[in-house]
Amino acid sequence: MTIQLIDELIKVCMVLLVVLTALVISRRNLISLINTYALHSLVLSAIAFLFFLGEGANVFLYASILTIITKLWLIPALLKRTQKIMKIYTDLEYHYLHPTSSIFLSLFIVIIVFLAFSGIKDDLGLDPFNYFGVVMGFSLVLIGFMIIFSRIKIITKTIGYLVMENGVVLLSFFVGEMPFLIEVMVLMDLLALVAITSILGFGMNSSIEEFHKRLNPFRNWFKKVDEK
Amino acid sequence: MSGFIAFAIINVVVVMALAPLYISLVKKMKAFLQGRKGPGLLQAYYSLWKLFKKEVVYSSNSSFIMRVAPYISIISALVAALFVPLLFIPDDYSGFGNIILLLYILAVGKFFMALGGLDAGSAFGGMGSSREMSISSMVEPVVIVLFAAIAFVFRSTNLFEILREASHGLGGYASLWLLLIPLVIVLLTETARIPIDNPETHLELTMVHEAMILEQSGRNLALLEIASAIKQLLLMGIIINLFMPMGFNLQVLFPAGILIAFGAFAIKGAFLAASIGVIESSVAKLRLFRLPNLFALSFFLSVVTIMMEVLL
Repeated sequence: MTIQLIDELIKVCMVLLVVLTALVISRRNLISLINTYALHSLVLSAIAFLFFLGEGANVFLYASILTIITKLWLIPALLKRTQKIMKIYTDLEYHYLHPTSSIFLSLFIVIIVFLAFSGIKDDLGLDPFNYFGVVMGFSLVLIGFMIIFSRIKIITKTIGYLVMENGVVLLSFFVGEMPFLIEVMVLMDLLALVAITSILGFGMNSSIEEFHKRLNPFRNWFKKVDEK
Repeated sequence: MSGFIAFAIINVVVVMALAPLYISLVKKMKAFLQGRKGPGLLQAYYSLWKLFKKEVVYSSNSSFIMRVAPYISIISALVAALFVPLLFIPDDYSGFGNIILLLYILAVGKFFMALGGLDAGSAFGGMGSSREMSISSMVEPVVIVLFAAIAFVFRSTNLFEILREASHGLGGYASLWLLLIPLVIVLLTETARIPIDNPETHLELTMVHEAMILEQSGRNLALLEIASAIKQLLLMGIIINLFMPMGFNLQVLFPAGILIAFGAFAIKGAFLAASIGVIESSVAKLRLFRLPNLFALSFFLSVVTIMMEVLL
């Protein structure tokens, strides 16, 4: 496979990544959201594989395989299991931002990141191709943040977190050192695992507010002690 | 210039011949997916013929607007047909093909259709026009950015040049695929289809486009129906010739090349019409307040396309 063809295929993958990011922001149906995230990860894995074909570094191949195992299979399966227990099919609750305004804010984020990195791209030695990858990667990190604070249901927050992690991985493909990438991936996946486990452990019909309500009765124990 | 005249005649004839067919095909596909037999493929032609033979009834409150609106709509649709090459690109097309002008020509037809809806003075017509214009005001910025993105990708605002470039293949135009979703959303919006509007409903709560033309009858209604069908075909033509250019603008001598291009376009058009039928059957109509979400998605993808073109 020629380098030009690999570059074109990576561009096509980037196009798919943008479309899937837009869908992650705007989806309300949880199953559809999880499937979109799985596809998002699949495209990321394809980008890693194309980098492996282009540069021949085995670490890209490992990243691709790791991404498929964890993000295409394991994490979506856990999230679907959680969703099944929750019996919640749509996420209609938002803090501050509805999907429409989230999409516009995402656009704003992409433009800001584009402008912010334009000042340092020469220092980083980025050509236009890598520059676009860096812009999309960093934008994904911020878009993930936005999903975390704009959604209420924990399962959607978790998706936001995972999208953020996909952004870190994408950023690393284009600019970072690979050992760093592996460290970050493992760390982030562990944290995501903790988040998912907490949902599984805490009972399911849950938002952060629900946790608060559930924990609130424990205050009464201390009140009783004081009264005594 | 004789080349352009031949192009104009062929393009208009193709548009008039195929536009009602694809309307029927969408209905047929929907019926098939719902387990019904559905109307025949020629039903749209029969319905138009029936309407042409019927008497035109005007409301006593209506003015000349009601009388001229159908003619302006059909004329604007036919003029727009000269801007969208369906089978081949003529050698000389000076003065035609500007993508911004195309948008304005299509908007003129819609504007007079909305005025016609208001002119009869009925509650339904006014409500339909109001809803149609509300949706238009939301989708117009998206359409402008979308066409700007297409122009950015091909470095031209002339649709003839854009489609000529696309006919050589889309290798090197990866970012163009981002625009497929916005183009389909605009196609569904401009042709009043699910999930934006339901062309088959006559319920007060859900009608948009149908409410606007509810007061029209006979020949005038037929003209408006043809104008809508032409608009759908032209937007389909842009999508087909951008993303599936196989068979378009063949360098083969007349008439063999034209016949092959016609066959190829008819097949690709049938595929796209069937896809519209599948989309209509698989999604529910969105509430009016959910529509901005869809348009924001199109806007986002169009702007990112422009950014990709700037960067890559």
